[in-house]
Amino acid sequence: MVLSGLPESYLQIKLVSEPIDPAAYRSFLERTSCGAVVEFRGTVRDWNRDRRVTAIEYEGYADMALPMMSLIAYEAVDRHHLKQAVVVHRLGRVAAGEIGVFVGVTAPHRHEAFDACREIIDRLKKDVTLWKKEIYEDGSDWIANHP
Amino acid sequence: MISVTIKFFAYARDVVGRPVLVQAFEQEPCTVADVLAWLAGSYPALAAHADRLLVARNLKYVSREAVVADGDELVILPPVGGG
Repeated sequence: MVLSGLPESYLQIKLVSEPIDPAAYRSFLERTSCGAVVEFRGTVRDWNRDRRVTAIEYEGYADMALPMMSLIAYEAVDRHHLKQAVVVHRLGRVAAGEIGVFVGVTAPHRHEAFDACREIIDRLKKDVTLWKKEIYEDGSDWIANHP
Repeated sequence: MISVTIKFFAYARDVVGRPVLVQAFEQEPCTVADVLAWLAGSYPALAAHADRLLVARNLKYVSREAVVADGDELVILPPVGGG
């Protein structure tokens, strides 16, 4: 399953139930020679709060999540003069070590690219209607992000 | 009396035990706060987190003071945890 946001030529916004392959987005990100490409891959920790984590189950309210992801990316493009931006988040069960979220941006200069990438992931964690349940060897727990 | 559809995600859905329910309310006007108070009373595990729940209607967040109309669909959103 793939759910997509705004169909802008310079944005790719997706919620996906299949594994995220960053290489699949590189031709999109690198189609212009614009100076700086920054990627963030958020992976599932195998250990959190003194418990061994085997997987995370992600859930999303896509009807609100996709427009918010698009808005966050669009504002980052505008503010940091990005050429392209990719924001992809998994839904469903993601095993420890796998990628849960991928953010990729391109900009003319490194400062803009680093700042934009960080801004996008920080806002995503704060404002997008996605939830995570950590799965342990002996149970599970919903984990909220801290502002 | 009004009828309200209430949808739940994540922790809230686990507590309620289903993703959606329809409930009648006799208060007039009935506010989002009234709906949350009913939920907290019906599902005590939600009461401890009631202050942190967000509520959306028609894809927009609504305040506790917002008046709920017959046929409205409210979505109960726990604190987010993406990324």
